[in-house]
Parts: sequence; C-alpha cells; structure tokens
Amino acid sequence: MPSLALTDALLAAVALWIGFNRQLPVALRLAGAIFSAAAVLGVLRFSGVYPLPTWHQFASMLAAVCAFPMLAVAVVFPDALATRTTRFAWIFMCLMAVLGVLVVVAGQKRLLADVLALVSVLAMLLTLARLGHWSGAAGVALMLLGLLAFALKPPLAEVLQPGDWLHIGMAAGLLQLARMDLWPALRSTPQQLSDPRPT
Amino acid sequence: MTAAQKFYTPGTVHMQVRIGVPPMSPYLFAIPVFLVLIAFEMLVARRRGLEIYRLQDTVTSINIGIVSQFVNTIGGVISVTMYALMVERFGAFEWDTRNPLTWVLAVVLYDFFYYWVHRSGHEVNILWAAHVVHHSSEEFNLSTAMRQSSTGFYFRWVFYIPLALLGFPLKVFMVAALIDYLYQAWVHTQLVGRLGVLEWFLVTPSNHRVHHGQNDYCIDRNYGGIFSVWDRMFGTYAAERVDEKPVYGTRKPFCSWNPVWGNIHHYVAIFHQAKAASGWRDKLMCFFAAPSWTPQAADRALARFEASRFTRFSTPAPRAMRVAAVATTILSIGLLMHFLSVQPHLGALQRIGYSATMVLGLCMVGWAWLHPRVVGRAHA
Repeated sequence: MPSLALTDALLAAVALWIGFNRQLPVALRLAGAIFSAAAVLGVLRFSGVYPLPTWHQFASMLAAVCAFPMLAVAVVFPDALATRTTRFAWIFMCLMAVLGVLVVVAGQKRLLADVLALVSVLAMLLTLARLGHWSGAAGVALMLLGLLAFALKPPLAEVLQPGDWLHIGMAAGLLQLARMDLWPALRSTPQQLSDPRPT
Repeated sequence: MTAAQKFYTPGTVHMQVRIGVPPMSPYLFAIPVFLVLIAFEMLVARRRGLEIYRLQDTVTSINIGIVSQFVNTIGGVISVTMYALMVERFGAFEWDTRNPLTWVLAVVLYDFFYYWVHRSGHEVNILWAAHVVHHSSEEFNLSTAMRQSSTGFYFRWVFYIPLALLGFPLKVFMVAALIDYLYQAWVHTQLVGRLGVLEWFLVTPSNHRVHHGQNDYCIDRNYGGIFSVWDRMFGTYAAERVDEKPVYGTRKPFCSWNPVWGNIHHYVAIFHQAKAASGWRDKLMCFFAAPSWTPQAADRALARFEASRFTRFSTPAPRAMRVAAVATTILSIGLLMHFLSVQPHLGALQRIGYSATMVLGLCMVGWAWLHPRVVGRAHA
C-alpha cells in the first residue's frame, strides 16, 4: 500500500476522533470533520480501493480554505460564537467555502488556499506561544513544517512523499490541539453554547 | 468557450439548444398557466363566498413575480455558471439521463437541498432579506406563489454543490429545479383542505399554509419544497390547527405595494441596524443571527402573537388608479413574455436595459398606490 494512503489513514483517524469528540468546541470538530473527509477520500484514492480524485481535490481545497481558518478561529478566539455554537460555526464554514469556491475554483487562484492555510497556522502558533501553551504550539509547529514540506518538496526521505509529511504534521498538530485545555468553559457552562437567538 | 457558455443560454433548457430548436424559456408556458389558475381560483373563491383576494395585494404579487423573472434571467446566470463549473471540475459520476431513476433521484436530492436553502432563508437574517418578499403578502392564494425573490440567486447555488459533486448534468439539475419550483405553485391556496395520507410525505396546501402563517405555532415550520419528510426528519414539521387558522404575513409587516422595495427593504433594515449596533460582534450578529435578533433583545423570546390585534395593510386606491395599475400589470406581463422569448438573442446590456426599464415601471405602480394624493393632484 502506498505511503500516502497510510499517512492519510493516520490523519483520518485523528481527524475523525476530533470530529466525534463532544468535549471539543464545534469549530474544532467541524474542522476535524472536513480534514477527515479529505483524508478518507485520500485513503480511497491512494490505496486504489475506490479512487475519487476530484472529490479528494475538492475536499482538500475545503480543508485549506475552511478547516484551517476554523482551527485558527477556535484557537485565537476561544470564546467566539463561531468557535462555540453550531449555528455560527456552520455559517463561518459556509462563508469560507463560498470564498474558496469563488476564488480557488471559479477564479483559478490556488494561491488563496495556500495563503489561508499558512496564515491560519501562523496565527495559531503566535497565539499559543503568547499564551504559553507550548505543547499546542509544538503541535502547530509540526503542522507548519508539514505544510512547508508539502509546498517546497525538499528531498527529506525517499520512502516518504511531500504529501506524507503534510499528513503526519497535520495528524500530530491536530492531536496536540485537541489535548489542550484552551476551552475549559465548554464543560462547566453548557448554557454558553446555546444558540443566542430567541426561541 | 467555457463550460457555462457551452451549456447555458440564459432562460433556456440545454437539450433544446443541443438539438437546434430555438431556445425557449419554460416560463413562457408556465406564466400563462399560472395566470389562468389564479383566475380560476378567484372564480371558485367567489362562488364559495371567500374573500381571499385583494386587488392591491394580487397586483403586487404579480408585479413582484415579473420583477423576479426579469432580474433572475440575469442573476440566474451565476447559479448555472457555478453549477456547470463544479460539475465539470469535480463531478464524480456519470448519470444515464435515459434512466428515469436518474431524474427521480435528482428531484429527491434537489428537494433535500432545497429544504436547507429554504430553512437558511428563514433562519439567517441576511438570507431572510432575500426570502422575506415571498412572505410579505398578508393573503394566501395562488398569486402569492408568484411573489418570488429577485435577490436569492447570490446564495442558493452554494447549497446545490453536492449535486454537482455527484455529477448530475446541468440539464438534469435545471429540470429538477423547475419541477420543484412548479410543484410549489399549487400549494399556495386556501381552497384545498387536508389531503389525508399525502400529508405524511408531501408538501400540501395545508402544511404550506402553516409555513406562511405568523402565529406562534407557524414560525419556522414546514420548509419542504415537494416532500414534507425533511421537516419530519429535522423537527420542523407542524400540522395546521383547526382551532387556530394561520394569519398570513410577517411579524414585521411589509406595508408597501412596491415590488422593488419588497425585495430590498430588509437589506436596508439590516444595514441600518448594523450601523447603529456597537461593536463588531453585534454588527456581525445583525447579518448572521436569526431575523428576530436585535442587540437590545438578544436574549428575549419572540413576542407572543395575538391574532385579534392583527390588521391587514391597506391603502385607499381610487378606481382610476386601480384600473391603471391592472392595465400596467397586464402590459408588463405581455412585455415579460416578449422579453423571455427574445432575450436569448439579446446582448447583456440590452437585457439589463430592458429589465431595468420594466423594474422601474413596476416600481412606479407600487409608489403610486402609496401616494394616491400626489398622483391625484398631478392628474388634476
């Protein structure tokens, strides 16, 4: 089995765990869901079991333009409505998806996806370093290295491809982010999670 | 030639383009049928002694429908272009268009995503601004079905991206959309009661009356287009109550007969609200919170609706003005039919110019009804 399928499976496992983890804020879980969709499609594609390359490309584009910014919002603004409420996390995700489709797909500006992912990771890194969350910062640094390895394609090891470094860096980074205690209020004050609209 | 240009001439059905028949908008046939059905409903209602039509409301509904047809022949290009682009780039499967199951599945899936378009249109303020025009009538009859939004085209396409990812061809998507749209026309009536077992899975006049009601039990209910099963699945279904008939309209009444204002008044309200709000959080909430949200009453429940206090919007309309308005609307329908038949041959600027002139003309009718004294003085 190609290494890309294996490392994508690793990323899928971590991202799915995040997606289903009710202890985490909605934005993080939605980002996990997007990453897991892209990774599962990657496994299907690279293993040759059921290749859907166009869906993998689309999900990867969504991961870059939606999931990375959602992670950044969850880390930089842990109390924001877009971090903690389903409604606003979804709205944020849809807005970013629209931006992605319009600019990256229709406008053919692939650069936006790369820039959004990079800026999101840098924003997370700076925030976590400022707050002294060193384990989280280390995880995000691994994400950054994975992104750089994927973009620059340096000859790191013959057995692994640039995409593998991205998958491994992402999996490690997501795991570290999910283990942080950045969102403790989530467990203590569930009423804050409710939709603010009057019902 | 781009994917969209290859597949789409505004207002046409792709298969007609492909086989060389002059492109024809399906609405060229649908509009006369709608109008005949409206006349028929008026007649039946009159025989039954029901007052379900008011002239100003009906003319406004038809005018709003005309405006939406003009605007959407231009705005709809966005939806179709994006869909065609997505199918071409990301469509994963090939569908046999000779197989009836393809079409059935497309309609069911389209209706599923329509449920979410519609629900979002009610529950997110900036999207409600596009949809509110459809609910602005305080009557409920077949003409209400013609009150369609002129501004919804900018967001609706997003919800149908999954259909494009599945690879449903553009013509299948467009026909599914047309079927969904046409089905919804007939459910805007008070003349049909409950329909037995059909109520379980289909959108019917009864459950759509609830959707248009402003009573407490009607708010944010029954979003389905063809199938009501989505409402049952996602907890938004409500049956019509015999003891509490729906009162139609919106909690913030429209209070105008102007078809253009009907389409933009809520956008204006949102922008004013956001301008007055303090802090970026509240400003964003003005756009993305529920329509009932205000900075002052963020945690307050929607006020209880009291049907006895409700009065329908009405303005005096002298006979001459009524005749003039009806004549203008009939003329506008004729011009719309002309536009729909010639617009494939018109350039973009000609289409925009034609549409803008018509929209302005219909805007004047609405304005005149709100200012009868000014019009009367000018006439004298």
